[in-house]
Amino acid sequence: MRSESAPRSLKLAAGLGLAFLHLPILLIFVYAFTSEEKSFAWPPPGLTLKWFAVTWGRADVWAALGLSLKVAAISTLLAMLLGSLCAAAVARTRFFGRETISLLVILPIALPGVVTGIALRSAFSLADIPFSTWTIVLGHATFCVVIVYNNAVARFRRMHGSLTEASMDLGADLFQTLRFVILPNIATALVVGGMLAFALSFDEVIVTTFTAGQQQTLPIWMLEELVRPRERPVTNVVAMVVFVVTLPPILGAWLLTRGTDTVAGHGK
Amino acid sequence: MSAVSFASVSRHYGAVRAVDRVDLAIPEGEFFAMLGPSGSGKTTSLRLIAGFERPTSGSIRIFGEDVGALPPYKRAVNTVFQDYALFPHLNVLDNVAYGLMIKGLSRRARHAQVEAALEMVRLGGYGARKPSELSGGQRQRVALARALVMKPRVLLLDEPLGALDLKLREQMQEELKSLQRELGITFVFVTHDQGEALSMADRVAVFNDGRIMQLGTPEDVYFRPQTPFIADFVGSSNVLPVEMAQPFTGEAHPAALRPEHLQLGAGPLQGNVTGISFLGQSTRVTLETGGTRLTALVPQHHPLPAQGETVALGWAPGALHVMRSA
Repeated sequence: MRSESAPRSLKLAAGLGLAFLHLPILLIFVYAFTSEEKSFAWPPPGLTLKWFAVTWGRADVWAALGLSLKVAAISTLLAMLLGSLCAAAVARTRFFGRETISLLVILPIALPGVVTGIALRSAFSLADIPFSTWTIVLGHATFCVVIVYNNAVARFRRMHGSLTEASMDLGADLFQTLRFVILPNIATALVVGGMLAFALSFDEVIVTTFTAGQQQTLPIWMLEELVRPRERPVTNVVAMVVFVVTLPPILGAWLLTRGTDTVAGHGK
Repeated sequence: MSAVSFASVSRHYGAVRAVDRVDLAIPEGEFFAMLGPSGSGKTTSLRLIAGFERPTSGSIRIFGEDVGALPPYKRAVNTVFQDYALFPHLNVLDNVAYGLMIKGLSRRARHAQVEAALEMVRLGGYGARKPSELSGGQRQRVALARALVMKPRVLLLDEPLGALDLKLREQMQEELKSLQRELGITFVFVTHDQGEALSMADRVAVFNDGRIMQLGTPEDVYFRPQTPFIADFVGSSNVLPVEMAQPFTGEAHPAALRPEHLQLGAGPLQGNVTGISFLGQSTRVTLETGGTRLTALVPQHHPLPAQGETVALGWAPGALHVMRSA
């Protein structure tokens, strides 16, 4: 393998690409401290911390944040349960229609959010289901299940089928096998799937627009807030807090999956 | 009482008869081999004993008890899996202790037994390692210790040496054999390697198409094969078709002739030499006679024919084995 360093022009291009990706995020942080509330002028005329206090005092921020956390938590739990069960069925057994089920589970993530949203909305009104937190949860679960399923199914496929047989051969019943062999082997995949599902649900806009009634999740609230002329930096403060809070789980997911390309003891 | 017995046991998958009306009795303390090509039903038979498969019909008894309805975790048998199936998230000690932990033994009691089991397979001091840090041979020993620590009355081994290289395989054959003698446990092992079956087992069952073709001592199946399939699969014997064998045997059956018993230079048949390969101890000569392919093993320092030469073929009296079941 060649190990000499890349030419300067390539380094420059890579640097510019990275800057293009990440500088806008820094810009959001800067505007959270600006003293100008109506428009985002560059450079900021002055720096202030007062928007943090304003944000803290606004009930609508807390309501939106609460709803977002609730929806993300419930959809994630639902997805972890359904996704792992579905993955177990598809990866460990053979039955008629297995490939079809597998495709149908994955399909929602390939489907544009608009289509999922419209489909769910018309289904809800056909069935006379009033819009509520639960309709949002259902909408989010469609793609959260896929995330957990994809992670779990990959892990199940790498796990030797004979492990469960070995466990039962050594006297463990089904429940003990689940607890002592299956769960420890898929735990990291489930946690990672859950973290990604949570993050996806937390910032989802499109499906939520179609499945929410009068309620606002945090991303929907932000969208509405941007068109309002007053107290604009409040949005930036919220964005910054959300960024700081969601970074650790994403990093955690990355750290957990790193180095699990090969399951220990797999090679012969 | 037999350790394991099958009474007309079948296991069908749809139209496929993986195991077809098999009768079998394995006495306690025997080293029993199930030998056959892949898809012959030997592994399914082993899984039927372990409880991973249920028979479609027939009954299976382990020490007299009908186990047809018993799940694997309620049977007094343990298995050494072909891929070892060590738990990747546990270290060697916890792998071996797994069954005892499920049984509810205290940590201290488990560890004493695990240490003894690891000593027995010469892996003392390896308890803290992860399975991924072990070589294939070491993993195999851990799998063996994990099964033996449960003190099974029957130990099942599924192609236990299949993943090891030749030298290690020969060494493990010796060790398994002496371990079985020491412990006095009934060993049932599955293999497609006839050399392995012949060298280790007290008795061999040769499987083909879901049925047992022959059951006997290694000498039986090697020297007295009952069908051309066994003559070919177990002993790599020459099979003389009926019309070729009948003039010599006087019976309307095919006959088996071991390659080392086929002599070149004098005899009633004529053969055309089609191939010569040097094997070290001896040289293998393949011949063609009247549409039948024959193999002869010529010992070292004996004269060799040339490729394409026509030579006379013969055998010592009694070397032809008539296969009356064919």
